Amino acid sequence: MTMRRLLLRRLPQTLLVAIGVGLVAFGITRLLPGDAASTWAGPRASREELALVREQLGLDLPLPEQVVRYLAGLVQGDWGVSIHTRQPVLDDVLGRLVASMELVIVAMLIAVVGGLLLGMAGARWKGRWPDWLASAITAILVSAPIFWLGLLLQLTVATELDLLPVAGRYDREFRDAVGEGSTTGLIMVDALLSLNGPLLISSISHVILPALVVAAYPTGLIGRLARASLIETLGEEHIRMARAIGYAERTILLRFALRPSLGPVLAALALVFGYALGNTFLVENLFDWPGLGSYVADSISTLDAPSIAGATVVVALAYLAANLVVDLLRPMVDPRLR
Amino acid sequence: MTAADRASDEGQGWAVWLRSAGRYIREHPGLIVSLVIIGSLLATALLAPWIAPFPNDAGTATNLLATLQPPGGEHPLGTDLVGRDVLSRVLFGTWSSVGTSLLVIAASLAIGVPIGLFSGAVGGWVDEILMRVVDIFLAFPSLLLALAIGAALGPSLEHAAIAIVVAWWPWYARLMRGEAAAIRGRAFIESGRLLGLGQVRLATRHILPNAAGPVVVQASLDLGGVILTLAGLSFLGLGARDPVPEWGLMVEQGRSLFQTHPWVAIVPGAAIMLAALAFTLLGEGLRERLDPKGATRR
Repeated sequence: MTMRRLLLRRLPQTLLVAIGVGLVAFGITRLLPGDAASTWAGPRASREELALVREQLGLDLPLPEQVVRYLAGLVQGDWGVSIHTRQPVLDDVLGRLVASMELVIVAMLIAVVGGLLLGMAGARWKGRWPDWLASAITAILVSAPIFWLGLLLQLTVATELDLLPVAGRYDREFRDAVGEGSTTGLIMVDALLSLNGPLLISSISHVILPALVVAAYPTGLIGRLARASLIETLGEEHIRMARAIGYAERTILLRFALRPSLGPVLAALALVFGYALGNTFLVENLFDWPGLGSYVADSISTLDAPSIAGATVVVALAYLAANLVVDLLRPMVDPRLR
Repeated sequence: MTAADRASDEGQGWAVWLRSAGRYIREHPGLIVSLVIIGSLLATALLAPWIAPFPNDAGTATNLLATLQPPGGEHPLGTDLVGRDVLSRVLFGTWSSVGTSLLVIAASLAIGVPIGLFSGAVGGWVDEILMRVVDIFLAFPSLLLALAIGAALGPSLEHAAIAIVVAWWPWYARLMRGEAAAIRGRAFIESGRLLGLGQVRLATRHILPNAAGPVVVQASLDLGGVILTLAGLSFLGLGARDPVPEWGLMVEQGRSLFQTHPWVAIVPGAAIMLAALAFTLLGEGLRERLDPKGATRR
């Protein structure tokens, strides 16, 4: 199947799901405890003020009309106004998403490299001690609660050994440089573009710990998947052929077995991305990382329905996009799927 | 074989049995380790009131004369901010953490499996609509959907459990639907239909048992994930409330003390890890037996 036909088939599906995502988000805003109008107007609002706010927020309209208005607003970029920051939700959420993505991208790099290495070690020495060690590591990585891992790393690596900063996104002395306005929102990329070496080092040293924590579950998952997939491939005919010819075991693994084994790993990559994105919600607060996770944590404590719904929508859309990209990439890596 | 040989064989029956048991343990170490841990978890969940040194500390009791005691002596794993015995709370927490997670999986299966079975067995536009609904739920990372719904329902252990069920059932609906649709086309179902068996009977008696393996495997693998998700929601303040001894909440309570009194959070966190680990190993052990090809499929 060509790329275009695949895209033509998947796009309408994705669009339909995106509309559904908007509906679920609307449902979440309605489920939230408390009256949206009184949360918005504050506890001292008079009856008339409340009625006015109700009208402004469209809460007096019949439900189907509210749903249509909400969906139309999502498409037109009007995602409502956050109750706790009093800023347009879309601006808030996009700014925070970039910070979260910085964390997730670094974590995904760690997870793919680390996971594949662990998987290859397990498959190469199957049943011997490196396999045991790799399996134990991946089992622990998929089982440890990551907020707890975060606490442990903060205590050991940051506080006791003083190797890396405990929290934050960069050192305080760069606040002016960052505040001047960023071109991409990704501080590491900004620092690279403006050739600001100290800021680059500062931002990298700050991202390592939270990224390691976010990468924990994805690394374990990729490692276990890669091991199983490699072992399956290593039992195939063309590998026996290569062995018979007399290639070294390492060459066989890297040149003949790795690529055909990547299919399942790549297929799971979107799911893994979803896990990584979800995990940021558990640890951003811990590491004082100004991403969507901290934003939602603040929104929950203020019962900020538009913000929670907005964050949910933007994450779901990012996840949908990742799924689409992975589906399009798979036939490129594995020609058997074409 | 002579009579003497047979006698010596019988005499060594137990040795043979022991040797084959030994071989089984060597070949399936994960399964054995997981069964041992799960057995101990089950035992602690049931026996907590008798084996916990300070059973009252799992409830509303406080002991302000013994706050933040380090591990050792009367309190083998130390005490928390209000002087409650950490060991007792972790033991009692088995029920609220692992027990709730088991209920969550059971409820998700109870919703997802019938929907998936119906969808796959019927096919056509009903199948199409149901699966698009499932797609919508699966468009959110599970943790995030559970978090948003948990926030909407308000903080409590029951609400957190409901929120996770809402995020989880679509996985089983999709898995079950795929298995059912594949089996529906097989010859034995066709012959059942020619014999005049009803749709319901075909679905429940002939499709379901043949499709159950991968679903059972997935459910046991997911238990670890549910334990972690539940703990995560509690950690974010959306789950159990004090004084309920829930492991995720206990880690949260130890969070601000972590630099000075780490045991308050380390112990319940380790309990979460141990429980999640046990169910992951159990799921993988079951997969080897019931669904050997499932290892590379998501």
